[in-house]
Amino acid sequence: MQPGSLIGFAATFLVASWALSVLLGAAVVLGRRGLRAAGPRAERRAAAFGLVFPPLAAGIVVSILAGTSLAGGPADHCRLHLHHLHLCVFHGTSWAERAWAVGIVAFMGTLALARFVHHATRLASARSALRQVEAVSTRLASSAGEVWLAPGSKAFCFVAGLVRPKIFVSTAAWDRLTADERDAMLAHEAAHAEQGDVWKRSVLHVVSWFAAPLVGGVLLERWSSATERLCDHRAALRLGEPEAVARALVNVARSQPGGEPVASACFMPAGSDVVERVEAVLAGGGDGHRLARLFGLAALLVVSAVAISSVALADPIHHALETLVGTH
Amino acid sequence: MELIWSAGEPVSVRDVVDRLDQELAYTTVMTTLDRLYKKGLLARDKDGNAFWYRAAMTRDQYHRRIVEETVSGLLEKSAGPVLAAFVDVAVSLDGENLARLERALARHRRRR
Repeated sequence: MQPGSLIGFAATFLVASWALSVLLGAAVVLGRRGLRAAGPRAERRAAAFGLVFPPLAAGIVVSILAGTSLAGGPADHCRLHLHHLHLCVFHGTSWAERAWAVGIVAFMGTLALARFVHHATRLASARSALRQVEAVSTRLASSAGEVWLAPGSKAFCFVAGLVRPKIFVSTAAWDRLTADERDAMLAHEAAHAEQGDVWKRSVLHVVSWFAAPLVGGVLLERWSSATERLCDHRAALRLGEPEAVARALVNVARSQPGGEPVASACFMPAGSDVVERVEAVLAGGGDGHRLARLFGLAALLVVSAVAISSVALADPIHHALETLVGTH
Repeated sequence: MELIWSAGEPVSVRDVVDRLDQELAYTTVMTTLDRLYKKGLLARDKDGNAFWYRAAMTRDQYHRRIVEETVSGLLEKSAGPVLAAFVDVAVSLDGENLARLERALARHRRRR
């Protein structure tokens, strides 16, 4: 096996993952109105699929190509490849002579490693920070789960913890809200905890590194926005009182330090997100669970189809990818 | 800090060494108190060659400071993957948006 040939497989994986993420990202953005109308659960699942499917499908296809090449290959193994580079673990070393392929793999590899270290460090520091906050906080008896009331003049409420999510709310936020608004805020956070949103968000964050530049950020933002609206919806259902959720949102947002509106990671002013959420929760409607279930089923079928066709059509796929990615 | 709060009066390095449950070198305690002073957690007065330390803030103020320092870091450094906040701390509702929300809430109340 030639180590240089792995550059071809890595470059093919990246190009395929980027291309698929651009297609799915465009579909989610263009279909935004329809997804919004269907409900937040459907929109959230579509965004998650747009993030997870590209690297998963590219990974499956490239792994099967590498596997068949390693095993001697079906029909395509080591024919004459005059018009493009050859994806082969034994004879694909010419990929290492292509500056673009080496550059893209080296750049993305280094970036992924740096991001992984940063992500792991951030998770570790968050864990230690939360322990400190917990040490000076008071545990509240609540049906919403493990809730800690932290002293502080800034109004905040969040759920944190990958394995055992805990809700932290500041005294500033707590004192500002009425009893039904507090229940609404805690019900919203409890919905995050039940859905495992913290670990899902963390995984999707890692997966987004393999999406085309900007696309990952846009899809993550769509997922986060839909998730917040879904939790608002669930809180309203749990309490039977959408207005309490809306009032809690407005009161907590109103107590933030203020200043100029700050753009979030995906070019949308954070203030307008609260407006959308309040309007959505007051408008009521469904959460789009039927469409979300359909998306889930379709995703399962598509991934299975990709895996099966990668084996059944290994030769034409092999040749198509070589031609698309490795043309001289 | 707990020891200084419970003392209720200014304490010297020797007082702290004597009151600690575990045995620590005088110089270790002196360095720790000096660091806490430099962080603004302790105040001190000099009497002859010795410093007398007292808490620069109440226990409650200290707890608030811990929470604000740690949570600000968590919420502001693009904390997306680490937690899910009820409302983004960076959010800023301008007058126009607030008025829009108040109108939406009023409409909802009228409909009920």
